[in-house]
Amino acid sequence: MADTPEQILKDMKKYWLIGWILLGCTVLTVVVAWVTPSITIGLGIATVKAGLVAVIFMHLSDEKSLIYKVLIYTVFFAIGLMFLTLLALYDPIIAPSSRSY
Amino acid sequence: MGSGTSTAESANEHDHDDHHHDLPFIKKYLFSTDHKIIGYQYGITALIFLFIGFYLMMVMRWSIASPEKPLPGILAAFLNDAWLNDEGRVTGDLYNMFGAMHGTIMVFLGIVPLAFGAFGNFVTPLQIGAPDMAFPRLNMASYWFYFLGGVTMFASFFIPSGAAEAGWTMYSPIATTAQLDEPNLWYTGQTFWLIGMILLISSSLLGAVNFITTIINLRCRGMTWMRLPFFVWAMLVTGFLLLLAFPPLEVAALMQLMDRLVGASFFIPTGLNFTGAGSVDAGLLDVAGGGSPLLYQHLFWFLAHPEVYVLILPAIAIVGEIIPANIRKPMWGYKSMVYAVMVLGFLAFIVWAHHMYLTGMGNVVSTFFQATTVIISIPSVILLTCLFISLWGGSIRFTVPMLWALAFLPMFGFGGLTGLPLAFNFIDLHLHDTYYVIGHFHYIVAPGTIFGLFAGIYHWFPKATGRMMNSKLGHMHFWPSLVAMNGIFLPMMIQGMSGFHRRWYDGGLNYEQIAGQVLFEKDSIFAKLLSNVPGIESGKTIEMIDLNHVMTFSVWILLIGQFPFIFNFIYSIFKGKKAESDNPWKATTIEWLAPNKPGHGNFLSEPIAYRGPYEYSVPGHEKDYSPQFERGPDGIILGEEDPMAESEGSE
Amino acid sequence: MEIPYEVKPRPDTGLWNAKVGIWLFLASEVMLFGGLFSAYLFLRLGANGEADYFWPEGVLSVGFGFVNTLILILSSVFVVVAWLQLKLKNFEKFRFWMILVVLCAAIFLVNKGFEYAAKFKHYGIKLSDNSIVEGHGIDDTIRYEGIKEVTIDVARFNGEFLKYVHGEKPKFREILSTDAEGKPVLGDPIELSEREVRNIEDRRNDDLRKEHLAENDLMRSLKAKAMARQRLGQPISKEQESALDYNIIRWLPAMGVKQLSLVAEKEFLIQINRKKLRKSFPDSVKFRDQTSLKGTISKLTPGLYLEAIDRIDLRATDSENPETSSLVWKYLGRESPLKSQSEDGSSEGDKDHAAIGYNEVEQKAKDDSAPHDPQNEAEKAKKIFLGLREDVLAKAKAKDKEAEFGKTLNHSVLKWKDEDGEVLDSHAPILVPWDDVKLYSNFTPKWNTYYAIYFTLTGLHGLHVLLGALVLLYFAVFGKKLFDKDPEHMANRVEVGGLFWHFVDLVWIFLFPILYLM
Ligand code: HEM
Ligand SMILES: [Cu+2]
Repeated sequence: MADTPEQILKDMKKYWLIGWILLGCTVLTVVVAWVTPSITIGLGIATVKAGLVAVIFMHLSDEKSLIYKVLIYTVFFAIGLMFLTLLALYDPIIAPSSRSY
Repeated sequence: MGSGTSTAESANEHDHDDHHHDLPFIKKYLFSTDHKIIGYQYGITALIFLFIGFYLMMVMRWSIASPEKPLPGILAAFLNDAWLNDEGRVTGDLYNMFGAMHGTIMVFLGIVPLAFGAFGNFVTPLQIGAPDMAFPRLNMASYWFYFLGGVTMFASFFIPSGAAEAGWTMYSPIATTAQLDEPNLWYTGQTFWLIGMILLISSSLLGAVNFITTIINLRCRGMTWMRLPFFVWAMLVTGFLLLLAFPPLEVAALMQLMDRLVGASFFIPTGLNFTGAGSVDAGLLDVAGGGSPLLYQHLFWFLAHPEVYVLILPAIAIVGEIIPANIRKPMWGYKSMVYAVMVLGFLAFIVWAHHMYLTGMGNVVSTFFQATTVIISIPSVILLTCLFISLWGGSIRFTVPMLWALAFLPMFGFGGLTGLPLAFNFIDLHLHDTYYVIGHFHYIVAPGTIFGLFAGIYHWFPKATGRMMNSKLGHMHFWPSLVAMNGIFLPMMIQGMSGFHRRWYDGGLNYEQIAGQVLFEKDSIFAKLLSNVPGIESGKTIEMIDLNHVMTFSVWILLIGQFPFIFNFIYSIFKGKKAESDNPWKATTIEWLAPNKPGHGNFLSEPIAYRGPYEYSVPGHEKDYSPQFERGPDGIILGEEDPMAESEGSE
Repeated sequence: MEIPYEVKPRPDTGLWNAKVGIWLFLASEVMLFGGLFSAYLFLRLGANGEADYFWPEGVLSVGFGFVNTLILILSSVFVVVAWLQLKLKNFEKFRFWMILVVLCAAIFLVNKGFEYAAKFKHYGIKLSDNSIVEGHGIDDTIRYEGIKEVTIDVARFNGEFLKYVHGEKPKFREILSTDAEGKPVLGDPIELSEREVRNIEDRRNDDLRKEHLAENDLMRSLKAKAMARQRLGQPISKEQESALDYNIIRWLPAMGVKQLSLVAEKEFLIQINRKKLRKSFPDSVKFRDQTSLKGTISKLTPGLYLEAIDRIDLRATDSENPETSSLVWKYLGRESPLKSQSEDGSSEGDKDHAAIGYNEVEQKAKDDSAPHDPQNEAEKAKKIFLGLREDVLAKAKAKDKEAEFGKTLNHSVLKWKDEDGEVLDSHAPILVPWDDVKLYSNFTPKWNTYYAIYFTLTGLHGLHVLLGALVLLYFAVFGKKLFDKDPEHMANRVEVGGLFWHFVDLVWIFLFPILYLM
């Protein structure tokens, strides 16, 4: 990121714009939840918002590769933790009665 | 600076560190931000906890071998009489309490702080040529969190309820409901355990952030990734293991705390019928239910499997430093070791449910975890094999640290190989929760990690104190320890395979069918041999349960074997032989450039890495070692022009 | 000594230390909240498999959550703006925006405080047939009369039960032993207190210890004699033989007294909140310190009283036949079932009522001021609920699938409507007999796993907000010094603080839909 004053002022505009978009998305989430209580859409919008915060506000759009690596591993394991525990929940050992011999 | 000449003297003259000489005692030794002092603090505290853990284990082993005899005075002297029953024997409750706290203290307050906290702190910045850790004050905070956590855990022995008693794993619902009959739930061992755990986890997290940052950002000039000593690599991976695996346990501890204190039911299933442990009434708990005990196990093992690698990696790393220095030959397969340790760090996160085969997981999940578990043994074997092959053709110097390192290899190997059968769920059906599992991991942590740590203490002692440890006493420490360790853990494998459960406080006395299996016939030579062990009558058939006496006897030998060490350690600090130079082992890594007893800031001149970490016996060089920090005829500084010279290892 | 790369980035990694540090820390935070989110999923998905438990939906005020989301997002923008102002070397503007951030945080936390407070004031009761009533204004005092015997766990006794004795405290007499006919031998009357129990314990233990030592001495001398005779080859008596393998054991606490039994000089009465009890049985009451009270106990309070109902949930009612739902049959409407029972003299309920005036006055007042007829109201409610249930079942049957009770049987009382469209503004109080109360609690983690995870997630998040705000406030207030010395260092610090703040915002972005909307 160049640190000239012009650049900084441009960034400032960008941040405000993103801020308004985020606020809009929030309204959208509530409206959508009103219309159809769909979990997928709700989480989808949340993911987009979180993505904007991470990419723009936290400058992940322009970061060093080392940080990407750390984060990729982290996100991978976080998803692994959620996914595998759920897998275990949905894959109980077969009950003897339900077996067809 | 030639490392053959002695700069020890110059370092001891406090010419370069006079600025920190003025610091008052408290700032210098108690609330120090110097990574070496913090390392010593970690080390001393952890050693004390190791001995406390050892004591707890001696009481347990007494109960196992002689459940019908009162606890002898030497052991009983340190404990609250109210815990013994009216015949002076160890009760089941006491056994449970000591069992849980033995595990906790050894793992979280003993080994990890000693391996990661002490060695990591002392050695890592020196090896990468850094003046200190990246965040010295965070480093101090990390120690004090650990200290507070330790105090909390230890204090729980002195409250009326006694310490936690639900196993080191603290499975819910047994941990949630234990000691529930106490008038004040805040004031119970279980609660203290959880709070202590949260403090310890915070400490580890701060430590991990600090270590990784230090390794990434404070390497000296020329220290590219592939020039890092293996120890540093292992610390980096360990740091990532702690950083990413500990938070889920922190969450789990928090949730268990809520279950205990405010009646939440994260881990309490609906309609749990609580059939009165101890003095608690039978009947339904007054909670909503709807939670899941398995959730706790998932969160716990998501930490605890990576944690077992936290236990072993530093030891492998120490051994990996000691072996090249004592065989005068480069480490065999440095690169494969680095990659192996990275793969290990990755896989360690996706094998955890192999501890939960018997919780009713279905085939899909079992198979997945079985596969990953088998795969993870590959990098472990690579590490071990590289170290073994390194020995080939070396001119081995049997110094005391080297003895420990050499003993580490087969012991760790044995422990690792016995893990393989456990990886298969159908075999685990038989072995789960038996002494076989106990034997498996103790082979890795006790004669494995602890040997590695002893090796490290003997190896870096001259750097820390400027004096050598006595090698005669070192031998007197090593040989009894080696024999005794095997005397303790080998019988466990045998008992485990014959079905001994890991949590019997009477050593199987009440389980005749298992305990009474014949091991050696009456007049066989082994029976005669074993009849020399105190507690086993001569001329009788040796049954499985008799092995308990062998183990308990070995424990006493192990205890006696530690006295030379304690004496040696304290004596050598003050009166040991002066190290003849800053590099007494003639080793190659950068910590040997720093003066002995390094002052604040570590190095007298800027360290620069000119070559790889293990250049021993390089053809054409006059000495049989070419330290990283010596330019020599062929040294080059890598990585200055090229900013991202090599790939990073971020696990 | 100086640590390198504290301010300027290291050339090969391109990063200064604190930047690496904060990202690593955030990575561990991801795992922290990741663990909690996986707990959320596990509990939510697991809950819907349970027959008697439904995941509550839409129980939080969306308004609060919505406003808080907006506030956090705005504060995130303010943080970056503040940081850019710092980069423009404009400290005063930086300070302005930073203070705004901290204000946002304060509003957020105050909002949260209101939300929590509302939860603490609401209560739920789960009935024995799994129907759930929620409302506010609870009275869970419980009274026992006719208590005569007290058993004390000596080691744990803390005298708590004495605090709840209603009226004059009686004197107690210790049961020392029983005589030949089984009648107790009583000691002198004492004022019971923790102190007194300790005294008795000491006295008793002294005696026991003396006994123990005497026996030890006796056996020791017998043993010595036996051994001497053995050495001389002389025959030894049976008694001496048994002494031979006698282990001398020193006095241990486990040999002391463990329990004391006492009888009160006259029957007494205790009054206590049900929650404070460890356990209550038909004929005895147990406190947390294991003190147990016995007697010809009768409970005086008929049950748990809830002043106003907001919501009723019949989804998990386990009876196949909804007609028997205890809620619909017994408790709706303001007449206590116990009370009406007593009117035809079939139970002692009325007497109990009269004896302590429990809720009676209040209930009467309510009855009198009520514009409508409770009996009738109960009838209507019943009609609504049973009708809805029939509806759902019929639909399910027609489509040949499982009944989806969904929101249908999860009603806010205020919205009740009967078939004619008449709105029933019912806030009837109810009284549930203790035997029918499966669980009751205010809306805290105890009430169900939803509230448990809600409080844990938002509590932990709130803690992050608080800590983050404090750090940012510190920058705004005390940052000038560092700024004057090294503006770049200051900008770095703010960047790190900002990263943390954005992360906190990011977590909330997920919390809002999963807790408030879905
Ligand atoms: C070679 C790779 C390894 C494999 C395949 C392996 C496999 C296993 C398995 C499957 C179990 C579960 C047994 C059961 O509970 O039924 C287990 C337990 C255990 N392993 Fe390993 N292991 C390996 C290496 C290690 C290492 C390096 C350590 C380091 C200390 C370790 C420490 C432990 C501990 C502490 C337990 C028992 C935990 C408990 O239940 O209390 N293992 N191992
Ligand atoms: Cu494991």
